[in-house]
Amino acid sequence: MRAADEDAFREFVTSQMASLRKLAYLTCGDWHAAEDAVANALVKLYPRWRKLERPDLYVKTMVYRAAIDETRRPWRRERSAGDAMPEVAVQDSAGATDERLRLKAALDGVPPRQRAAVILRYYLGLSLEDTAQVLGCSLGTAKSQTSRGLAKLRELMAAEKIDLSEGELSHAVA
Amino acid sequence: MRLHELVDTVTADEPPMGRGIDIDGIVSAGRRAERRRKGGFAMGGAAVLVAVVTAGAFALPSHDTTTATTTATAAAETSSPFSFTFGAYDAGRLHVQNPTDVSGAYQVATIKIDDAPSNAYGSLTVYQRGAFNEASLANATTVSVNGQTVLQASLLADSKPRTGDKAIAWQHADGAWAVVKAFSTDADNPSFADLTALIAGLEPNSSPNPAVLPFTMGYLPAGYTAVDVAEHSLPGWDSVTGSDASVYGGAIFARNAPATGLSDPYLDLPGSFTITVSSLAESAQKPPPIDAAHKCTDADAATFCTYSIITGTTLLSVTGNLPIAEKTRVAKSIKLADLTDEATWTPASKLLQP
Repeated sequence: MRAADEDAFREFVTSQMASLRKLAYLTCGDWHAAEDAVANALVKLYPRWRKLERPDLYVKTMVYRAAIDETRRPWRRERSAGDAMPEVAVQDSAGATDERLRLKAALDGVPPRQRAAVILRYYLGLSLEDTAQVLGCSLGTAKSQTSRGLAKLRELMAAEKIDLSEGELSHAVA
Repeated sequence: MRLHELVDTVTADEPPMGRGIDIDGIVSAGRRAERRRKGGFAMGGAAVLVAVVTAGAFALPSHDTTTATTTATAAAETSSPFSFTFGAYDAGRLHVQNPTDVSGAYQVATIKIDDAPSNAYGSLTVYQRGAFNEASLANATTVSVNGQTVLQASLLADSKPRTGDKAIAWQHADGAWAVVKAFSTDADNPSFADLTALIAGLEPNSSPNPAVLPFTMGYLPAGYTAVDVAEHSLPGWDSVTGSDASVYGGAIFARNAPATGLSDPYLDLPGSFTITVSSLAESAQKPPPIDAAHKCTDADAATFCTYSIITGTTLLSVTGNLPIAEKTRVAKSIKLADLTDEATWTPASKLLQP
């Protein structure tokens, strides 16, 4: 890879790393697995960097697939809860922790593929077409996965007496 | 609560980035991956352009199916439409090479370019009818070349045109597209005119030329078939840059491969795995560690672990989305031909041999 391309690659990694890690974590529910998925996807991207028209979609696709694979692995499902805990202590009030756990439980109640669709579409701001490409499905399927995931999330949050407001979701179920 | 607040709250326990995800580490691993893809052999300096051609006059022969039962638990068949239906030709200072990669949906040839920047390269891909999605050439303009309607477009990165990277596409038969993509640091070298000069020279062979591979295999996981094979190049999308003296050949195996809606040759098909055979003999790079295979464990993401066997100066790799036990079994079932004598190589339709 040429130096200029490598610089661009580094810039891309710097700008994308955090959101990719969140995409992976929210899909598979494990920070370690999320980190593995992102690192491996970026390593695969490197030799293809200059030849891909949409490296952002490529790497999201790779991260999504790896994260979905993780949700199917028995050793991941059987991991102790401690594996998902923060590696360093963070200041956190009991109330904040409780809210986080309730919201996490609501999010976890959405099937992984639908959850990823919602994150891609409404958290990362992908178009429906790009969401479909990352999920590896048709536009119609991407649309239904997104709307079902959103409906399920709203239902689960309502059970916790939390409203998922419109805002960025206003164009959700077109 | 808004979705962004929800996500930020749920991920508030995000631990610091681990050591495995620092940028320098990723770049180093990426460099190693790049070397492995090329069999540890640096690409030559010659400028190369790759093209893809589709159906119509270049229709591939009907599937020739070979079935081999390898074990009581694993039987598989190789469906093999793997023949080349066009050959090398020249157009001005562009030189289409013999195609090296073929699937049921396309054939790929690299193109050498005289007097181009040393790092320029490209490809010609000839697609089967209906296989190419012309809408994938974003912002393409339509021009007429000798009465032929031709799409031409700058290739994009993050929705912005990349200087020097361009593509043309034309239908050599109804619904059957040929696509040339060129990558160069020089905005006008090669030019669109250089690329469109290739259109007239694309003609089918008098008879198909079956692709041959430098290996046979005795075991293929149930449900998988070969979906893309390559002679003297890496298979699939990587054939664009992988046509190289150090690569003897390879194949992609999958349960399903799309036959329509393509924008490029196959790249990382879901659930696929890839076999490549390459040479380390002339490598200026160090070969991968001999114990590379032993670094794979079931705890690794199956997608990212490569099982490698090095015999003398030959590197056999099995990579992709298979458990390591399956990768090992596949690799150990492979018999290599005489790599220096293509007469001993096997037609892709007869890849499976107990």
